[in-house]
Amino acid sequence: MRLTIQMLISHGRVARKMGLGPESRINMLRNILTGLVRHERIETTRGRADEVRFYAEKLIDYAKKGDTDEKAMKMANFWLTEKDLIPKLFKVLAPRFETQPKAYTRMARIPNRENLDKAAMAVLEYKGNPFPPLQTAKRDNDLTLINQLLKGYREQRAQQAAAKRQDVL
Amino acid sequence: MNSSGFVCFLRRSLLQLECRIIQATGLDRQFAPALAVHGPSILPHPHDEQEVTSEPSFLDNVFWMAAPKKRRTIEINRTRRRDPSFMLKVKTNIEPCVECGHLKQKHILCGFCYEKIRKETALIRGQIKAMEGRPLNTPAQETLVLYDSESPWESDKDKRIVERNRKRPSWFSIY
Repeated sequence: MRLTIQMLISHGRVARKMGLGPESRINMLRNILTGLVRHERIETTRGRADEVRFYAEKLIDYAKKGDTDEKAMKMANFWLTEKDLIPKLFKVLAPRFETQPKAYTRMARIPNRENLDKAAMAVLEYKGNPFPPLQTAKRDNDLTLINQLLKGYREQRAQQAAAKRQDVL
Repeated sequence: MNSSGFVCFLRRSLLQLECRIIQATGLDRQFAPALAVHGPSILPHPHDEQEVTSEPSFLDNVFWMAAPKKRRTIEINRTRRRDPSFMLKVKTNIEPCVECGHLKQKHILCGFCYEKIRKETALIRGQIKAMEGRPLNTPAQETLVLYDSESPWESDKDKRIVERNRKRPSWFSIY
């Protein structure tokens, strides 16, 4: 190919390069996706998790077409290297997300890896997995001043209401 | 009348011409034993001066290189070294985790809480592996994790149950 200056400048190019080339990138993503379908929650680097998300959701869209669809089976056969996961994909994951139109995966960032490389990591999971949830719903802390004052006010109102009922009786 | 002078002049010029020819041809030189002197030659050799024995060294052209003209003062040095672009950036996105109180970045999960979840997940996966027996043996069934003294509901009868021998942790609610 022509060795132009344009090859060195990459302004505005959003496609990520992973591994040794485009084929290597697809193989790597295929392995990660197989691991995700098997374990339903995996930890990888941020870039890889972000890339796999697209393919994971597209795979579920294909699986929703059903077992008998030719294209869907070909896709599942290509993307899942461990063939005992194909029944799991069609019989477990596709029915799980039947009511949802789009967002089947959740990605959250994790503190950097402990190794020397300090890689930025992320955890990627399919929603509805059996494992403990990553983020518990935020509950307001009862011990803050405002909440304590509100609690006292509520108790006072309850006492007043109880006293009024006593008077009426 | 100068006829005799003219004849003399002709004779002299002819003799000079003859001498020059003999010198040019080298017939005047007679090879005979002569005195040889050992030592530095006094007369300079004209052909050696034109030759360049060594290549022009790097230091010959030193006059074109950049060099500082003046000493950099300590004030100038300080302003360069303390420039904000080289200083460590202050992070304002660190806050304590609501659950455990350890510090975390706002857009990243708490390390301590995630570690707890990761360990529990690993133990659950160990149980699943023991249940499956051999590798590549995933059943086409949903999974449900139950802790001590918990029993599955009506809607859970199709799922495979993974038992964990401990009390249910507070951060792993059933719903």
